[in-house]
Amino acid sequence: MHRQVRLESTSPDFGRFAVVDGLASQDSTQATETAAALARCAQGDRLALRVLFDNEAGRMIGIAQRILRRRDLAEEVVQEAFVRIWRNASAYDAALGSPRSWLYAIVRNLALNAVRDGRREILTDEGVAELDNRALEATDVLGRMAEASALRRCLEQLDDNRRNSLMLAYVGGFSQGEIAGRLRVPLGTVKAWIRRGLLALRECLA
Amino acid sequence: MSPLDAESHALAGEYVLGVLEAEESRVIERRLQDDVAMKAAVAEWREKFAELDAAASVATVSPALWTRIERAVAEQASPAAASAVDRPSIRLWDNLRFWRLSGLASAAACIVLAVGMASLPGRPAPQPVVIAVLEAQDSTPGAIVEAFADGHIRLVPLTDIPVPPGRALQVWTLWDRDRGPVPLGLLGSAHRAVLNVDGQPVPRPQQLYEITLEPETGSPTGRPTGPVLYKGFAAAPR
Repeated sequence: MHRQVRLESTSPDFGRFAVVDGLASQDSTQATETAAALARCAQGDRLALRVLFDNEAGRMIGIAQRILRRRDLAEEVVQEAFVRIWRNASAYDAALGSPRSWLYAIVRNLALNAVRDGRREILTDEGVAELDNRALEATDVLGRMAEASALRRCLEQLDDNRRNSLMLAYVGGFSQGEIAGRLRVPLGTVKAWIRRGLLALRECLA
Repeated sequence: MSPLDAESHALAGEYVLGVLEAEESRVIERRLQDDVAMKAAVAEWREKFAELDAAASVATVSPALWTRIERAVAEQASPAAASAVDRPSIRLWDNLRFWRLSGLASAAACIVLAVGMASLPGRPAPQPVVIAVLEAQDSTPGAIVEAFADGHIRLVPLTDIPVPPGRALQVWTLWDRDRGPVPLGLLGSAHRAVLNVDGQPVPRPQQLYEITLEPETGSPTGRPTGPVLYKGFAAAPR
């Protein structure tokens, strides 16, 4: 099961940078800076890549580490993510989300590729205890979100199975098959939990 | 733009979650080329779920990481110069652009092979210490690796391996888990090749060999980053 998640797209549209960033507002200045830096990367400005790194690398390591557990692997993935950001900056498409969500999608997808494409046996040697930690941390993330967050409220309203499946998939990087194994239910059941969870989430957030 | 139905919107959510199979993801990616409604749905989910990303711990970043990134980015600009600095033993094979520019890609294997044989006048051809059949995930054999005592490796593809533009095949081995996978060579296409690898211990049975799909200039991290196309464990010939 090789998952090649391609993020590059056409039509750069830097004009919409500031408008589309939907991330937490407390660091909107940093988000704006990130957006501007990505636009400069697209023009070949190496200093702008450094700005992106200073603003986002710490968080990106955190995102990768939730999936890969090991710090060294997380750093490798973040390194690759920055190479990709540099190479593909001019293909960034604002119609597919804010600059920041694009950066996070890149690092997350690279971490997912690393954990799933058969390298796990070489690269992580992940033990059962580590798997449990990865799952636990994934489902604990809600508690780290702002109480006022609509996403948090809506996730909390989902039934436990749907919420846990979504969190294990997004935060912990578990595949649906792995989730089915962990929760000891058929794959079809997990697929239904995720599908219905997404439908309910969208309705709640509307 | 007509809005997506609820199920298609949820499908976009599954794409963003990363739970779709490769083929399903590719279908979505094709739609993203020109389907404005699908783009909007993906953007919506990315923005929503980015809040979960924002809740990740912020790690303390070591300056060494930036140095590695800077080097990797510079290597992209000038792969020939950079690989000569770090990994002299395999620079010839890493330096794919050189072979492409010279128009010698296919001739390269023959030259290396000829040089290797010329150094063994009048002696029988050396026998490999171990042989590995590399298989795809569905167990289709894709290539054979023969590893010789002096460190060189012969790669024989058993099938056509499609390589997208801008990508290359990279061959790896794992002889020590603590050290991790070691790159053996980079090929622009699947063809018979002899890879000369210095400084490696004599290959052993059960040693893992694999081929991954990497950027044209090789893995930027020095570790496999692309999908594993074929892998297999070595065994000694009887």
